[in-house]
Amino acid sequence: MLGKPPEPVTRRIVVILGPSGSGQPLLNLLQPLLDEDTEIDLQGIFVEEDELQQAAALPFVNEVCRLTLSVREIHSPQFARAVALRTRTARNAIEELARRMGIPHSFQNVRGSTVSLLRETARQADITVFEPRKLFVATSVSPTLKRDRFQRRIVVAIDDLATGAMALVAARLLAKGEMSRVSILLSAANPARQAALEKLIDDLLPTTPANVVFLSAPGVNHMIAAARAGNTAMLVLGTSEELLKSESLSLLLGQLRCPVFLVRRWDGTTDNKAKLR
Amino acid sequence: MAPTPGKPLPFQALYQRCDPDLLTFETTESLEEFSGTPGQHRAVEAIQFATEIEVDGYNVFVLGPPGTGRHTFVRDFLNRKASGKDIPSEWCYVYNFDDPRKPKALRLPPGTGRKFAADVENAIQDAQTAIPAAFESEDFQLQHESIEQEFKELQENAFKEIEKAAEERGINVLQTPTGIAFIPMRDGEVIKPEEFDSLPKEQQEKIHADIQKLTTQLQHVMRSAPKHARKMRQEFRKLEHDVAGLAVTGPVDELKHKYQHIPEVVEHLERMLADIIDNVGIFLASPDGSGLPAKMKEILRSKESSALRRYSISVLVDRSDCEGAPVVFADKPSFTELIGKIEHETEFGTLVTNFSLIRPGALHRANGGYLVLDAAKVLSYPLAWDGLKRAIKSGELQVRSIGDDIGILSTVSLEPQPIPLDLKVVLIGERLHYYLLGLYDPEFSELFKIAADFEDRIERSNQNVEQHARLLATVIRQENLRHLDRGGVARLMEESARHAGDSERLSTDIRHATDLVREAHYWAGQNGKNTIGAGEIQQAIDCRIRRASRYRDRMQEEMLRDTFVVETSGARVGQVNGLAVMQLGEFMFARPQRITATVSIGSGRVIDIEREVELGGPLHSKGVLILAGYLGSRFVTDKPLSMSASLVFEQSYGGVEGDSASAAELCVLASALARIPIKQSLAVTGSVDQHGMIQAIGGVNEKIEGFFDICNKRGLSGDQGVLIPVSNVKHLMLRRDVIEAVEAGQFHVYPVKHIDHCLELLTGLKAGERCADGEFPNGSVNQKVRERLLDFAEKLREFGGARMAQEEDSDVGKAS
Repeated sequence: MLGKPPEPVTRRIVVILGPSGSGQPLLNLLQPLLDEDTEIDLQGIFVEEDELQQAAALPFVNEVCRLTLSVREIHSPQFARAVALRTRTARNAIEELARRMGIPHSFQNVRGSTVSLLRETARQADITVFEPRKLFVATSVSPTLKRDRFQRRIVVAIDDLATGAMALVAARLLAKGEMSRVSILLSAANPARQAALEKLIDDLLPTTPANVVFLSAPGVNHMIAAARAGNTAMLVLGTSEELLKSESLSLLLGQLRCPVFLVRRWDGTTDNKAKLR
Repeated sequence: MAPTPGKPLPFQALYQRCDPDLLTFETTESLEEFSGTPGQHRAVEAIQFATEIEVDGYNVFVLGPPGTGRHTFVRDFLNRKASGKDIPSEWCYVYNFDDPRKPKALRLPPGTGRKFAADVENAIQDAQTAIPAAFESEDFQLQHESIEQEFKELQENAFKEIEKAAEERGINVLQTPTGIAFIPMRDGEVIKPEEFDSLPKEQQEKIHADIQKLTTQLQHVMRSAPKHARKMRQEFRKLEHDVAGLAVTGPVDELKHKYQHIPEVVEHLERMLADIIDNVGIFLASPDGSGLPAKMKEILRSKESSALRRYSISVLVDRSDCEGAPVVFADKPSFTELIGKIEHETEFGTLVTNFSLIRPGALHRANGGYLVLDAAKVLSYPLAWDGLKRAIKSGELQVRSIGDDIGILSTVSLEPQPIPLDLKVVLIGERLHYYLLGLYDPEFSELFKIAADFEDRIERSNQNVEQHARLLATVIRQENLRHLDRGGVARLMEESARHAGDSERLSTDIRHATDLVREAHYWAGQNGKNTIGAGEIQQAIDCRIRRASRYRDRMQEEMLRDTFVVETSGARVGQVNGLAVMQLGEFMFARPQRITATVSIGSGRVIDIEREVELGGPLHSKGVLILAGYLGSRFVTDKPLSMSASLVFEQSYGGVEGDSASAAELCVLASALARIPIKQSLAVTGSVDQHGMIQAIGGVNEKIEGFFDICNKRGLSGDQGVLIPVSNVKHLMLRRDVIEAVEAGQFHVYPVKHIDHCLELLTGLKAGERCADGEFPNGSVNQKVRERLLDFAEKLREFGGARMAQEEDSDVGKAS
């Protein structure tokens, strides 16, 4: 007697976007995950920070323009317009990506704290993607070399067997098979656990030698410092309660210079063929 | 024996035979090759001199009639000369890094150009591998990252200080959609408006002041970011320069060592190296273009190769196959073929060019050697002559577009560095071109000081005959034809004399002779012979004439049918047979021509009807005018010439030129005046001067044969013949049938020296010598002419007296 075919599993990827960027570069990084033979539901969330809304209500608050360095007042209508524009841009970017990849999507506008939103989302979504807060950093590009010359690393921080495996699988997809781009940050409290993690890496990457960095101590700070040390394109982490604490999330938002992929659940196929849509 | 004027020539005088027995060979197969051109000593000397003198302006114009072997001789001569000379330099064009519009020319030793180009190409290919490898190396990535990190940390630290200062003052730094704002906080939350309002004024002011201070601090930090970014970019640039330099210096240094003996090459390599380092981005691959349309990928690839092209070497002149100096024959000497050209290609709808699209001309290829051009062709192409002169005069060659030259093009073009020019130019052309150029182009004489004048006929000497034979032997071998036996050679030499129109000369029209050999070769094959003899040569001559003689044959036919009236018997007053030569292509033949004259009393004018209707050329008119001078000076020196005469070439509907019929015209005038008939069985050809002396004419053989053919076809009567100038006897090379008729006494050729000889032969009467009393003997032709002229003078005087009397009466009548 034939068994029923397994139900297709739908994975939910949530992208959190803020008012300081269009999110387009972030969405571009996401694309390899969407090529997989996995049903994906893409959700975009635009966060309007409470603090910003409150600041806009204060009559004496000024802003320094990032572009011209001029100082101007923030008036609610003007601010609202700017936020609406950013929201629309973010929505359009999500729609375009979903249409191109042929996947369902949704978009919502949320007012509140980014940290809280992150925590909630990371507990529910399969993968949560966000960008840290950007500084006003001027373009740091070589006058000669194109940006894509540099092979930017994909850093995977592994602290736990279960989440670590899923993060590694996701990282492999994001690297588009170029495992030389993947650096693994191993942090383990005890040698046995470390050994287990090393075995996990060997099992998942039997033919490709992995670039593994052992963190001197556990903890988000050390992980962030290691991620900042190289030319990191993105940081892939398995979610954990430790990581979802407000302090940890604040550090990720404030200290990192690259987008973050929080992986709660992911077991994508090993081949990297794009789905025919 | 000298011919006697008025007496018929013996048949031996009508043809100078070439005796085969005097030739020293059986067939031309035993003769050595001959690479010169027989009898052209003057021209050969001139060419030799021109090619040896090493002074500017001594280029040579080879002039002469076509078919004389000028081109062949010049080619063979120059090839021999050039083989003993050194191979000249090669030339390349390279990118000018200082001014790309002015490509630089590099001179290289022969055989070096292509190697150098290949070496540079290899070095660039090495660089295409080495540079990306260096930039992708971990060391480079680390160093690059470290610069970037330093910059980022600088900014982050500055921003952190502001954040810290803000935090100390209870102020939060927030990112807005378009900037950064400072927000006062209370208990970890943004202060509400009402809360702020409830604060003491001093505190409010302090918050304002703190925010102001922090804003100023932030602006200062943000303002310094571009400066830091610029510094970072400088560090990037230095790093990239150092890395690129290290990657590419090795291969370039090797090249510099290899070509150290050529300073210009070393200099170029150094500039190239500096440019590579400055433009290292060219060597770094662009994005792989996956996902882009094919056309876009093609554009990207094209951009890449276009950028790298600046390092290539464009070999303009390659001498690797040369064994001496070059000898270039430019068959199509247009401006661009001579001077070279700058090609363009389209790019996004516009015309663009670069140094690799410079193409050499004939002058480039011939530089250091010889350039041979056809003068007529050079003159026929627009601007070619001017371009050639400019190059020779300036001693350098600059490739330019013809559109630039005449100012009609405004596309982006190049100004390649001129190349020094050192060559001899040999122009081959007609005499007319040479003399016209000398007359109308002042620069011509400056630049072409040597004229190599090819004879159209040479002495019929044993040496020249032998050289001719050897030359024919050479052609026979080259074209694998049957060899000539002695009889064939002898017949060819006779034909050459005939072609030259002079029994004592040989024609230098080699082409005529070699064509006959080729045709005779065919006939020998038809006749089953292994060698070409006199018979085959004659066959070839006869067939050639037959092919060309349609018009002559039809014309003779119409004469025989009396459509064109030509009388060959009887006698007529005021009518004589003249002879006119016609040339259609290479075939020359004569047409007997009736010339008639009428006379009446008049003012001494001889009316040439051909001239009146503008059918007579100036030379013809001159001949006619001379007659009037003769008549006056010979017959009525003491009285006005009171006759009016008109002369016409009957049934002549084309132009008439030349004075070779002036003797006939004088005879027919005398006949009309003296009323003495002229024998129609004779024809006259000769030019007469004012003293009655008969002068030489051209085409004497054709003229005799022309009249003979008509007489022969009607049946020779035995008293028919042709009067020719004595000075033309040496030109006689008549056909076999004419000679046989003369030998049989059926036809005669009379040499004449004075018009009186003509009159006696034509009238059968004595011409008469002037006596001491100024009169001529009674009954003589001259006497009758004089009598008639005196009669005209008297009548005119009477007419004039009567008229004067009439006019006087009329005047008197009027007066009264």
